[in-house]
Amino acid sequence: MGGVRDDQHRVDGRMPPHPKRILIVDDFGQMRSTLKQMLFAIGFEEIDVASNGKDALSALRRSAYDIVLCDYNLGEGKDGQQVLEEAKFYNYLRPSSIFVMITAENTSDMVMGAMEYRPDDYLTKPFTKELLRTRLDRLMTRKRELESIDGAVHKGDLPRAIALCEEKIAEQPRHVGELLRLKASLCMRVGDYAKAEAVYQEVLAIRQLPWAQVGLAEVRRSQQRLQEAREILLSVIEHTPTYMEAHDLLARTLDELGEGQEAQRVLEEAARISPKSVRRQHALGDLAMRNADLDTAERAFRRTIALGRLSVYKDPGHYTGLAQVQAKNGSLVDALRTLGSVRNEFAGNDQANLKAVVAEGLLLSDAGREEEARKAVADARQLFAGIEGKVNADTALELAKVQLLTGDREAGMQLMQDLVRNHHEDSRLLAKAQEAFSAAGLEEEGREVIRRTTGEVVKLNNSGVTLVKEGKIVEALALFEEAIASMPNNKTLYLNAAQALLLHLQRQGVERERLEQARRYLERVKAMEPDNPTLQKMLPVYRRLASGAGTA
Amino acid sequence: MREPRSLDFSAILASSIHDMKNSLGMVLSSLDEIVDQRREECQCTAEQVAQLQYEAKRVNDNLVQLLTLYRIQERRYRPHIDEYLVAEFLEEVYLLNLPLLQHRHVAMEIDCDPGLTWYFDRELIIGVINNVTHNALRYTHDRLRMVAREEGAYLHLYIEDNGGGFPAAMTQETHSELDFQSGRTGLGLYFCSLVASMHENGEREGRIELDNGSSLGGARFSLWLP
Repeated sequence: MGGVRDDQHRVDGRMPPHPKRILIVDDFGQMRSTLKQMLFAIGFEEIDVASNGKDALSALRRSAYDIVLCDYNLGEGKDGQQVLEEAKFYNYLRPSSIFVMITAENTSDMVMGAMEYRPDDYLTKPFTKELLRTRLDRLMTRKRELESIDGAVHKGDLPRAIALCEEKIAEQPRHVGELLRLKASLCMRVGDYAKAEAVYQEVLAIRQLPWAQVGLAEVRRSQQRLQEAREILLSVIEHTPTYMEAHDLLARTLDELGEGQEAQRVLEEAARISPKSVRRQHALGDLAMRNADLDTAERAFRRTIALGRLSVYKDPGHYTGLAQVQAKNGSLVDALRTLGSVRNEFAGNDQANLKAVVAEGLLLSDAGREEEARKAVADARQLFAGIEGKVNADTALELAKVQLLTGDREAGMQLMQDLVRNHHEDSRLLAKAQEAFSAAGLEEEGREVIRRTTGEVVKLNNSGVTLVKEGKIVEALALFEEAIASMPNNKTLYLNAAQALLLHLQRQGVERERLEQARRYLERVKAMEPDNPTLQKMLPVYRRLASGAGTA
Repeated sequence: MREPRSLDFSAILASSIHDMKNSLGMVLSSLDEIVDQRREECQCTAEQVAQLQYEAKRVNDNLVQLLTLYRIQERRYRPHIDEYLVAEFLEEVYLLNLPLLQHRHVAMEIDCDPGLTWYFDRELIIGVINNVTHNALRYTHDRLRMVAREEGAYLHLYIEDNGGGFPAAMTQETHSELDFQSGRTGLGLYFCSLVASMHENGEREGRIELDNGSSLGGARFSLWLP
């Protein structure tokens, strides 16, 4: 072999640098043993195999693998993409793990998942041992290069991850495209749209790549330039119909533009190309119901439930959605049966059961069966009391609504007021609250409650912020702490309080107790909205203080 | 984006069934030769294995092409363009073909700047290079060379050999129409030309060229990607 580049020979007889643990996932026994032999010959020793998605996921849950080689097509049950999504969702894969999707002859048949659910690489069958060795070698090298960035992302320190991306990009490495893409997606997550747009425009000036186009469309959406977003997404879909993110985003954009019918058409087409996505079927069900296309809605919800059973996205909302369609179709019996099945499907999950019981109450109340509705509300109250503080805001709002509807006004009002106090800046939730008031014939009263309550919280926050500005940080903190005690789910309060604490610590020096308090507040916000831009700006400040105090 | 050319799929099918039948015919007769019926044993030379392997690759190439052409026709296949390091990509194609090259005692060189990156559909271009390589193996003396350069905002990727060169008639065509007269190379070149034209950037689209400008003194196949 004359003239082949030097590093060609590197592969001969070389062992992997560290012992690596590998999982092979393939439904064909022949392929599993061929792969296993190849990997042994390459020098890997710890090799496990799984023949379907379910076994693969239990293996991934039990042990930490460095490399996963997974066939896309796994016969019945989950496919390779679903295995990957679930493994990522549950954090079974470490940032350093490599996931390679093995595909038959051509990847063109496969749909592309969103950025966070893409495998590290695709490998097309048939391949030789030497190709596999070279590919794995390169992937391991690339992972090592991105190790620090992946680590920062994993810890949730996105500003640090972005800074590291920028450092690497400045070195003009060979994989600069990948780094640009990563940087832009991180900027989007922390809400730095201007920086993200700069990256997308830089890439698009050279070539119309779908990821950069979709990224730019998202930036336009964030600027409320919906028509422009729509044009961009249409062009992506025309060129790359398997880029599913573009379809989903286009449907949402059209929906926001008030074109519900067209949005539904887009989702139906997307569901035809890629029928296995639970979230897409769910979105289609919701949209079709709003478009009063009950047949499509019912089909979509049934598919959602069937697919959800196999997936991490199994959700009681699939059942309440179907039940609503069934009730609208005039079949309350079927609707109640659907809701009843939640008890079995989500045994021991109080959140799910609460959602189902609340939905039951609403349907019964709608049908004029007051007695039974009140019985459902009583059950709901009991479940609610057991998990208070952990209830999803939308479910709590539905509970308040059904209480108002069934004549339990005092409790309903109280709950509604609590919700508004805790989510005074969440316009979507406030609109739903207003709808609920109107449905219960309390339109004016509800408007007044929302206006007054949000006003109080805003005023409270403002006086705290003013105190901070005046340098009266101790007073501000006392005010925030008291407010938090009565509104334990108010994100803005936590952020303002944390801000005051950090300022205080910067000025007065670090006190362990105050630092711990700041950590608790930031953790609360992180639990509610991990990518919150204000939170992301505060985390580095907190980390600097914490590392100075030796408590990091 | 321009619409893909319309395809006469049944004509394509007929042409490649013919090819594959020939290949399989050779495989079957080789198998007859190497199986000793009396002793129920296999005895074969490295040459025979190489021939079997070669014919099997031809059938595989043909099936991959057919499948791709079918998809292009049925569902308006669009290429999946991604950015790749060209040198790494060529090395992988080389590794995929290494056993075949070794059996046929052909040496292959790669000449490419290790930092060069380009945008293309990896699977489609592998299909093109495999096709050209397997064809070149029939005609080259003992050497092949894969070269990639950036030239005038195109990626110029070429494969050259030290065989007898292309006949004059072949170097004067665009190969964008199917030519059944030219036999088994007809479909292959048509496939290569179609894949090249599916790579677009702005107003420019890819193309192929055949000439005898090989630095090794034989034929040269060029792929230009925008």
